Amino acid sequence: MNSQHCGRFETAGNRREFLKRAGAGFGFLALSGLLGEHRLLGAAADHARNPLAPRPGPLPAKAKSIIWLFMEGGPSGFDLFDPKPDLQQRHGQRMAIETFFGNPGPLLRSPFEFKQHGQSGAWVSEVYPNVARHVDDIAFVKSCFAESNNHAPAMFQMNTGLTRPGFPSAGSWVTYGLGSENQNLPGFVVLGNQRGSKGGPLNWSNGFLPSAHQGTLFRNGPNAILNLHRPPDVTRADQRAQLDLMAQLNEAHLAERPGEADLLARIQNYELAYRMQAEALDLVELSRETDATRKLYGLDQAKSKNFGTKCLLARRLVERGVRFVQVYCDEEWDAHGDIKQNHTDMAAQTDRGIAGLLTDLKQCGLLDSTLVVWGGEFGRMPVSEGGKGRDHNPHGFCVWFAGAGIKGGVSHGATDEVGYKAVQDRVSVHDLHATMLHLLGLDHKKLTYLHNGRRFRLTDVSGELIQPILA
Amino acid sequence: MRRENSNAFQMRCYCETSMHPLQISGARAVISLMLWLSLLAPLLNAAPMVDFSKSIEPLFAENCRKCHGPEKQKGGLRLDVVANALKGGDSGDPAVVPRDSARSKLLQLVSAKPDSDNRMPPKGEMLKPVQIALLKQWIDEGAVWPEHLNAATNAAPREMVVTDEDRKHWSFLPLARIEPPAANDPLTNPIDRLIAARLTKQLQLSPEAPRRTLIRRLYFDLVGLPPAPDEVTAFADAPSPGAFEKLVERLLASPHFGERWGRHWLDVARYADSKGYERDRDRPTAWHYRDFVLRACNDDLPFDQFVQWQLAGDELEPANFNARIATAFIGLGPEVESDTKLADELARYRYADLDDMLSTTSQAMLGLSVGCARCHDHKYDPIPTRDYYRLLSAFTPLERQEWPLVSERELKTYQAATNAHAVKLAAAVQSLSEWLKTAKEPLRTNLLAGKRASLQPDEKEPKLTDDDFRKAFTPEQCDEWDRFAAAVKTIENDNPAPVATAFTMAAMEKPPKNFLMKRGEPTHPGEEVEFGFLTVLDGARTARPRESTRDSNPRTSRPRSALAAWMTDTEHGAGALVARVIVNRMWQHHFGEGLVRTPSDFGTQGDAPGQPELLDWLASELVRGGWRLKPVHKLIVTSAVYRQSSNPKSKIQNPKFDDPDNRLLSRRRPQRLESEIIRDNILAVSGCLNTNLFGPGVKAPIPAELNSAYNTRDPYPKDAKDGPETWRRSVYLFTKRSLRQPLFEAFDGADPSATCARRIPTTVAPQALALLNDAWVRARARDFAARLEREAGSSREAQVRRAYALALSRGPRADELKAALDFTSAQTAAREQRGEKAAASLALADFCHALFGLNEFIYVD
Repeated sequence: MNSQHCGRFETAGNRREFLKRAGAGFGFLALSGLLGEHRLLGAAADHARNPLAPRPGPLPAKAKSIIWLFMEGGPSGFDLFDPKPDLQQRHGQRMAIETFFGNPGPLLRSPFEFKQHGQSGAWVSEVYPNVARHVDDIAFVKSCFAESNNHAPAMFQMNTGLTRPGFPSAGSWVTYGLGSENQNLPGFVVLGNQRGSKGGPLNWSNGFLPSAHQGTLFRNGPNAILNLHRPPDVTRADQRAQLDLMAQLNEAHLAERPGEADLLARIQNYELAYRMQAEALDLVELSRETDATRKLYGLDQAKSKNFGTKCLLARRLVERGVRFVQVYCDEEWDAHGDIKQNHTDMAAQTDRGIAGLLTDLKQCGLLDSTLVVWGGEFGRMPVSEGGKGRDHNPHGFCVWFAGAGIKGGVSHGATDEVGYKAVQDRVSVHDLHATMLHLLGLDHKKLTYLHNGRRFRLTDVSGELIQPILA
Repeated sequence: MRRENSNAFQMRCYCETSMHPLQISGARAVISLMLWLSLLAPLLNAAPMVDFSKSIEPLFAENCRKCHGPEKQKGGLRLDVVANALKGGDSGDPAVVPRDSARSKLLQLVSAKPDSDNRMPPKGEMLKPVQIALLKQWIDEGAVWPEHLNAATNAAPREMVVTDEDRKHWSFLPLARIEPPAANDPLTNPIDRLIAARLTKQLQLSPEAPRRTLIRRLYFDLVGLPPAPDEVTAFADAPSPGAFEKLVERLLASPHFGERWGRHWLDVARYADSKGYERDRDRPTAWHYRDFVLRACNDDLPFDQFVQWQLAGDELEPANFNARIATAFIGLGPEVESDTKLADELARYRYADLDDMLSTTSQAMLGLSVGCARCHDHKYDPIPTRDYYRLLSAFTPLERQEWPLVSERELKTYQAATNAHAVKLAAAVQSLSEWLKTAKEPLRTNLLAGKRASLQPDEKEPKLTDDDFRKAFTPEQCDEWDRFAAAVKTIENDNPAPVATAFTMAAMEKPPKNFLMKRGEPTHPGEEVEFGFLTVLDGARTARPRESTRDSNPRTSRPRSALAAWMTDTEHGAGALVARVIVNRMWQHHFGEGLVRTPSDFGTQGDAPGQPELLDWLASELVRGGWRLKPVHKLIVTSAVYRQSSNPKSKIQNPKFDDPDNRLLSRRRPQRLESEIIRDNILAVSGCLNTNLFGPGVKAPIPAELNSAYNTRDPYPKDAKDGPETWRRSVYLFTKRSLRQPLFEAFDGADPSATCARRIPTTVAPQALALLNDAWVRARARDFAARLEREAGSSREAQVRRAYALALSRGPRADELKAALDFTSAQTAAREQRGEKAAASLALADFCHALFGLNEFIYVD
């Protein structure tokens, strides 16, 4: 499997190399000489040219990349990884509780069977048989809590730390802090939900950070990135001719305005875009993956194919040095109507893709340098909604980590006996973010950006590492 | 400002980077205890210690502190102060005995039976068994209570006191009286004399730019469109005295001036046409505000009035639609729409909304981040939290409304018509139902019997449907039924035409009380507050009530009117600061950088002005001229500093050249056009631009695959047509918060989630991909080629010359002409070889397409 590439692709590791490649073919050396003479290629010019140039974080990094499996809609912890015997016993009893849509029903037991798995003996619901095989690599955090009961603000918080729109998402902060290893692909890629996410692209917005740090939405299929394909009446040769003409004219324009780093950056940018078309097309070309690999990710079944494809793409992205990949599930875990039906279905869509990804990353050795995170924007209520469903619950939910820097086979924190609120070792969204940044070699308190008189952080004003899950 | 107690530990703050001494000692305490425990480890179960901050502190906060905390100490007990918790309450029994849970009263009380008299908490849910177990374990492990979570050592900080020293920060001072140096030549611009005073012999202004450059610069700067080739030629080749001033005046008077400069304010005002968040419902009448801003620019509405109307137009001039519409400014931000009834959740939405109103207003007008004082006194600037909530109280009585844009009489007529219509409709519906009842009644028993007969054993009592009756009616009855129904339908469709309305803010019927929210949490109201101005800009001074505010004490009865008057009052209010902030914004857009480079932060952490005398002189000029902006624009763009060349060759050859950041303004930097202007430029050059002014937002196509926001209530159309209707200036395009135009997003357009003072130009691959591959850009390149064929005939050279004139406002140099001719003939040959029919036209389109990608096309010298 994965015969061509195992391990990370060779990438343009340093700036000099990047510039050499970027400038190839249109007299870059002469230009850089011209600029260098005037001492105007300082750090500011450098950043203006390439905000995504890879740079090490201040701390030793365990992970080079993150794959964040975003379970939109809010999966239920105690129906998947955190069985609650009390909930089973007290089924039908009433408890004092406030829910988003009002009219809470009585406690509703989980409709699923649980078994213990692996050496760690972690409990996993019957709906996740393949994920269950990886529990010894997984650290479960069972005491997460968030602020909002409503999807869009909760999504914004899980992505940006704040419930309001307009702030940079975690992926943007990470590429702002570390750049990306591959200069021909965006540093922060979002493999989106087919029907769109609640709150839309603000979930992967760069906020007030420079727009190079914006998440780039990839879609399934060959039209992965907007404007990746040439217009129908322009061939590759036509475009090459256009680029050569533009380079010639732009170079003359720049020669009259030496010292303007922006102008040079834009000249190089066309070449980057030109190369990106080829690299991105190669990236999404899954036909050369073996049947075994495709099967591993569940591409052989209609139900698991879409999400499995995104998981496979995620591996191909981190393999090529993309820093931050978010994979959204295709539908939502938003089980208001029927927890059994919704979670059975959502688990079937995601089980093989997730398990395949973990298996494949491990086989490739990439799991040592990739952090995998699984979780939604909140969890679900132990009481019923309309008899069979469950309403939103930001007071207690489950997120798990696997891979680089993570101690496998552990469980951290707990909700109360019925799974309503996190009570032991409570973990905030800021704690989750602080831990992600730490594993990548960034200090969440020091990764700041001065905007409108304030030094902003991904973790706002708090956030602590979840030490017990760190290897 | 003075902070008498700096042990502000509970004051969580983003700005805290160093570790507090208490935190260190607390950490040390934990470490020593852990060491102690580790020695005992073989004897103890290996379970990890209970973490006070993550497991116990939240338990106390949620279940106990309402009665046993800083506000109330029932029974003399506090569970936020270590010493008190150890000592216990009035009973004398210690609440917590470290390492002895059995003797800890707290544990006894929370473990008491639910129905016993002294159970704790006394009302509501008992603690969960797991919580009691955690509490027990925590006590038995020694009740480790990190000092930084001990309220006794972290007594709430004394409130900030704003001092006279604080008022000495440069931006809070009254405007300095600046006398520009005397001129040898009375024609020289005072701006130039002020700038020259800071330049040195080695560093002089650059020479004036060529006239072709100047006219292009002025056009893009003032109206955001390229000059027509004829005008360029006339201006460049036949210079007449005063031609430059005449051109400036003509452009300032152009209706396109508002489209260009209004957009700058719309960035600051976080203007969009929808609400944002999950549902992102449209605000279909918000465009009235956009048009108000554009017209205000065109008509040169005095800026003090512009500010006042946006804050209190509804109170100052209630009968003036423009003033009413202007007040929309306060509420233009995003707004959650949700069906939830959860009170805490709703309070959070409301205060996020209010915070956006105050933060935007203070940044936009005062250049101050008052929003930073929401949870605690401002870290850097002299803005106490009390000021935040006092100012906020001006906005709490407001709600978003649709304001009818008709006279009161017309509105009454409309309301009367609506009422009459409702009565008529009700009558028709009643006739229908009465007739139906009469007609159905005799048939009911038989029909029910028939249905019951065919009922399955487990089915419920049958119900009769309209269809059942219809089958049983005679044809005449059916006709009559239809007639009644048709009458209802006719009336329903005959609604009185709705009156036009505009989105704005107006007072709600019952204004809420205002509280100082503890730690900024909307669920923790503290003491009640009344409206007040920003202390540092107010002090002992009071605002002068305006004539239009009739009440005797506007500060209490009409706080927003008072705020509006204070805002532009240069004697007694914030007027000097407001004037500095706006002239700086103007300078920024004319030059790419402001004199203060943090345009919405004039506080102590902001940039200090590179040319303080110039800033104050410009602000004074603005006020002296009755707050009219156009005379200041004219002063700026007619200055020599504005007219400098952007070619820095001469500078760089000077070894003394020592101002790489250009703080001394001795040269001009090329400016990249903003996203909207790039689009407008492409439309103008290709001959497609639809120059209609004003009106509702236009929904230009957005690729369907980007339409990725789920569950929006007014989804953006997936089939919007590309055509002359949508080829309007970009400022008129409909802005959906969850789905922005990809071209704008790529080229650093403003995100309307929050106020945007400065767009940071970046160079990223999606920009290049858009210019190379976007279908819309390619289509305009073909339109451009067709225009060239129309206007320049079939001669390739004439076409190239015309293309340069239109796109770059100049003719091609010999090498450029040769490159263009070589390119087009090679492309024609290549396309012919592929058997394409319109090879020559497509080759010309390839050339036009490449021109759109030139730096010279999107950067203006």
